[in-house]
Amino acid sequence: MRELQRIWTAPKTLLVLLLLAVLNLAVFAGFCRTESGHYAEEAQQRSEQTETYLTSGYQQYLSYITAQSQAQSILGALGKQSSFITRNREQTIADFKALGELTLQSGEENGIRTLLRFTLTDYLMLLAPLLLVMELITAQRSACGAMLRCTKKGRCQLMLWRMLALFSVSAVSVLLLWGGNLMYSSVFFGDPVLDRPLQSIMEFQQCRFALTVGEWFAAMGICKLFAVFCIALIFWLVLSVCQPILSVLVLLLTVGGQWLCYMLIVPAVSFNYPKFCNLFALLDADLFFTDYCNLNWFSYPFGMFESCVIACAILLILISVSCIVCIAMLHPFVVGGRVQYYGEKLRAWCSVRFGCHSLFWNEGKKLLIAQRGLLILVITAALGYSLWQDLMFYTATDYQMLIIYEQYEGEVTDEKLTKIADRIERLENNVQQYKISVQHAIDIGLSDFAVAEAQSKLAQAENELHRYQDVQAALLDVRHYTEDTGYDAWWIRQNAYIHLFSESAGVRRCGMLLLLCLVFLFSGIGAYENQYGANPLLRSTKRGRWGRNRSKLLWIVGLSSIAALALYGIHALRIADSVGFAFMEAPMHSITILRDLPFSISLRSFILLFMAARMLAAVLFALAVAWIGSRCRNTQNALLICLMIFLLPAALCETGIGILRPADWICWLGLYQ
Amino acid sequence: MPNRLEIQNLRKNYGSFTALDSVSVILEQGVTGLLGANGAGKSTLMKLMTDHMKRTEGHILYNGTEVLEMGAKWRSLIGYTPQLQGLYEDSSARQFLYYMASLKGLRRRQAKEQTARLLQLVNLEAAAHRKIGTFSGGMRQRVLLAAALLGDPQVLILDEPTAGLDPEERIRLRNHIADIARERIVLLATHVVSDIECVANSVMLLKAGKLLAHESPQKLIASAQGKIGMFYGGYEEIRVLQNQYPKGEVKQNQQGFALRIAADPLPEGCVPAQDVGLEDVYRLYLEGDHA
Repeated sequence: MRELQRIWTAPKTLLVLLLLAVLNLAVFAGFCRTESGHYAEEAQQRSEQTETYLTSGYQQYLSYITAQSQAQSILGALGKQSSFITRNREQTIADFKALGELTLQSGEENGIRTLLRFTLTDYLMLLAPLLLVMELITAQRSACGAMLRCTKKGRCQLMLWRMLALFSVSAVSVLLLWGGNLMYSSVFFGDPVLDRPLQSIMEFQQCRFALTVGEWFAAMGICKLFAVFCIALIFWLVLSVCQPILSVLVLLLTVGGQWLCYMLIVPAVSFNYPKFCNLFALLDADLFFTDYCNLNWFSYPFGMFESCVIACAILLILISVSCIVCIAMLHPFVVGGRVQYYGEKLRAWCSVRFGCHSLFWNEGKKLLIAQRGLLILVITAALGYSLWQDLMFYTATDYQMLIIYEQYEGEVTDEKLTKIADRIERLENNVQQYKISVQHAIDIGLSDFAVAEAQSKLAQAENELHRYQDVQAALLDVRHYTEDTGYDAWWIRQNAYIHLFSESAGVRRCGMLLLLCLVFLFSGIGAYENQYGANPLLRSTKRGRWGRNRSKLLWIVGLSSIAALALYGIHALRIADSVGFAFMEAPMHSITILRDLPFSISLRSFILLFMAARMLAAVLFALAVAWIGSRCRNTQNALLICLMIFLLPAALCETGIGILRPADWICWLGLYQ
Repeated sequence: MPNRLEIQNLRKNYGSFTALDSVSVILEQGVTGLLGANGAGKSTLMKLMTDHMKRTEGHILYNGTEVLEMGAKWRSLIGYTPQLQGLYEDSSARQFLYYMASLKGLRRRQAKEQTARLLQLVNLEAAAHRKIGTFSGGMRQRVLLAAALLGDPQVLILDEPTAGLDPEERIRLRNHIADIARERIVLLATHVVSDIECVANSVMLLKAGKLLAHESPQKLIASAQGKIGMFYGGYEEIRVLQNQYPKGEVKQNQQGFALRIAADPLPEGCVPAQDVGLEDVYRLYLEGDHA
């Protein structure tokens, strides 16, 4: 019990859970905002589809299943096909027969759709339990661990309490993160109506379980909890009994292999067992409720959910027992000596051949290798790539408008003003003519069709006229602005520039990623020496003060600039790809949101200046992080404190707490304040 | 020109607490042992000498020049082993020495040569590729010593360099220090007297931040003559006496028990000891009633 108390009263545990919950909520909130934009665009279509589905679509689907007697049967490798197909057919009918009595209900479903699409939470849930596992392993290996093992309750009993602590941390992690998403989506999108059947939402059409929406939430949470706990136990076992190099290989093979199988194997292949009998399938759990699939177990159909649960339950029991036996009962042992031996031989050869570097490269090695900076950069790059995939920008410009832009976009010349005035005059005349035609058609008693046709032409002409009048007004507005202020301005499409310079969900995601990258990369740069008490020794050398600090400074400036350029560059490039930057040689005052600035350069130059300013902001931010971190006793404390100071306000702002805006570091990094 | 390090009225206060109280001493080539109990100010003195800490008052002159004015030049002349083993546990011994070499401004070739030589000297060649985190305390101490010797320093400041070493390694290290001290100033702080009694040219006694004495070991031993005594008796007798002299050392021989005490004057019934050594000097000046 005291072990449970010790773990739960450690400030680090609570802090990590809090930070993860806030970070998850912040990212989810941003995702909700992005998705709500997409939902708004398809709202009409979706509404019609949903209505059809609720009234008759689902019943038709059930009838189809029964009539065709075919579900998504998968031909397995472990049994005769013909007997499996027959049994699967019967199983399918039986599974869906019970669902015919369901009374579907309409309700808010965008929240649930968003929950289905947002997968980052599943991975964030793993962090807190894995951090606890690292702490437990450190405790096991310390002198204190040896002391505990030689007490009466210091083996199996202690192990059981620790496993319970790990389970409880996993449970709280799932509750905070998954539950947090659920609550936020309910607030943001509206009440999902928890007591209606799950099949009321189109995405769950193929679900064979007669669950309500609320029960589905609970079932997902339970699945995720057991997956998280099992993965954490695997890490604990492997890291406890394997040498470092071997443990990396084993984890890559087991956990990494499962992840790859889950991501890459298509359900329709014959040997699809690794996809479903998989911890990541249990962690994700969506597939069990959005798809219908029976696996072929020796010619007998068995649901994918049941297969997964049984496989994972067996794995959980095996891993738990292995943990108790190997970590608690047996004498401490480590396998993988031979792998470690060869690894060390390789390291020795490398350090003799390549190990001796200048102070700058030594500091770089410390940052990138010892402090895992390279791993952080790789993860940032991977997340940046995923951001690249997700960022979409739209511009609703129709064909007619494109013609107008082609003719009038650019510098506002007298010639253009004259041209558009002439055009408007002609259009006004056309409108007048059409009005006369319509009236004439009515007067002479032409058919309704003829009258309607005339009215349609009139409407088109009027639309065109209004369009040109709007453009003329815009051109005149630009001309007057130039005359009043003396700053040159052109009339150009502004969408791309507004996307680039304004705050939006997309650029905030870039900023959040940059913030996380800089905090994880630089919070420990000074604390690393404090952790090992190396400062007195290092400072007693010739270059151990200014020389060392200068090297660190160069790395901070270099890496933070590159990170800022890359992440904000992704945003800019996506805009360029989707929308395009028109007339970059135009004066910057052509963009309405830049008109308050007291200087005038081209848009191209302004963009360069803007990006340079963002890079500078990133460098200053990184220096602040490094400075705060260097005041801490060790790298863990430095990371936690920097996350509290820099991430928490930004993340809370992301969830809508506007009062923290002045401390929203994402805004400072993106220069929106 | 022979090396000379002069410490003048060196003082360090932490608020109202005086860690080092106006210490003045001249150190010349050879080994100077710095004896003192825990908390006497040995590490503080060393940190002031390496300029890791700001002094409250006083000067440290190397060959007549204030070390603060010398700055990086002074730090290029010193080799330091701190008391707390501040080593990167993720680094191998070789990588750590390369890193220290880069901090000391050694060129790559020099760094490689000196690292290889020093690893051999401290008997860590076979373990050079292993992470320091897997090293025993003694092995870590040897890495620190090798790091201190990089760059051929003129002044060695060694804060308990033999902590964690087995007797054979201690002897080896002592002998090596004696060898290198011929042309260098070596300040060796310890509370293990045997570390310095064979190699030190002079000994400083530090107690509660004050310098009690700075003499050759022979003179210090001579000054303790007549102040070290033995009580002989049975076990119970000795135990009773020990209550009066709790810092006395109980020894057992064929005749029975003896309590060796350091006091000035010696109490009645106490026989003056003939075999006075530096250990007794330590007990007399740093632990006993004599101030």
